[in-house]
Amino acid sequence: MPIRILLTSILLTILCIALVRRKTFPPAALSLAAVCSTGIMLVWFPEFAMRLALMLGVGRGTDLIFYCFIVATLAVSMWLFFSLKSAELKITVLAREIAIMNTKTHPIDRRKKNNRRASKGKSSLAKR
Amino acid sequence: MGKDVPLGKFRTPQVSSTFVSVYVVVPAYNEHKSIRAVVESLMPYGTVVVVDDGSSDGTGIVAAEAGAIVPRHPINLGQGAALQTGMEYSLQNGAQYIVTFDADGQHDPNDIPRLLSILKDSNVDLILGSRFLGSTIGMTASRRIMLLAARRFSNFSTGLKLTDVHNGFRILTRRAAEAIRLNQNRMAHASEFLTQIKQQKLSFLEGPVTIRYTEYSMAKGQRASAALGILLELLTGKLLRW
Repeated sequence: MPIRILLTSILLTILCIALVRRKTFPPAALSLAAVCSTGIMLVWFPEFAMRLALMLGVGRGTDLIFYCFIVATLAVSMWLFFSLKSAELKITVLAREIAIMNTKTHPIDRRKKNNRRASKGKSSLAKR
Repeated sequence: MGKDVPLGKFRTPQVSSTFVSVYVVVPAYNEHKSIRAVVESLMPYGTVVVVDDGSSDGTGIVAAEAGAIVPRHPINLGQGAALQTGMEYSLQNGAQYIVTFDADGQHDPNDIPRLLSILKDSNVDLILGSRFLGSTIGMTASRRIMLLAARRFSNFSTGLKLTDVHNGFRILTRRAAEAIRLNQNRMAHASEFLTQIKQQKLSFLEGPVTIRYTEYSMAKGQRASAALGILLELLTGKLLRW
């Protein structure tokens, strides 16, 4: 009984956070809410996992839950990996823009500019 | 984001009319020991653009003092990213031909006029340097085996028939540089380059170049163990349809 209360509390907390954040990232929030709801149901009605497992040809309810956990973990890992790759691409584009924008004009251009300023009576050298 | 290079220490580029529209792109990361000599040797052959890939040893400052234009990445991204930055900068500034050149002193700048001449005469989109058509100085047997294995794999996967699939010396026409878009930041960019040549249906030739191996360049070069990482990068790139 205590473990059921503990697990239910944790899953309810995550469910609430997912629902509060649902507008920020709806797909992840909805998926998380669905997983938490299923988890709470299985905590209080474990025989449901057994019946479902038998229907699917799996020996035990815990085995079915374990298989689902592995698949979900792999899916999330892959999603995270590709998200990171996508973020890396965006960072690269940003860094490139910064690099090109901040590239000093060719030294010969600056020297010509300084010479023009000198001929107009202004100081030709920047302060070192 | 990097120190300002002091005025008055720049060299005036001495570029002959043959190379006025030629930009030489040199991606560089922590190459302060070799970059000055490389830049000085390239100055007669075009506008030298050294892309400082977030170096921490003052590579950018040394390159600028030697006369190069130095776009600087605020963070280290990889050679592929630096190459793409250099190409984009060159295109934005009117380059008609872009030479890609390594910063470790392996390449011979004297190969540029010869290959540029071949490129112009043959009317292809780009020319790829090949050490196996040219010459190598100081290449070890293990490096040769690794390159031959890479060649076999690359020719199989891209469908191109090349003698050297991992040479940083290339000369691209403006058309080729506009068609190619490197998304692989790190060492897989070399393979991606070839894949894009095939996908964009660019015409190309291989030209003989000289590669000089030194202790410094060998230390900087790729390890055989990096091959697996490159393979994984290419695979994820394909999955993401980059």
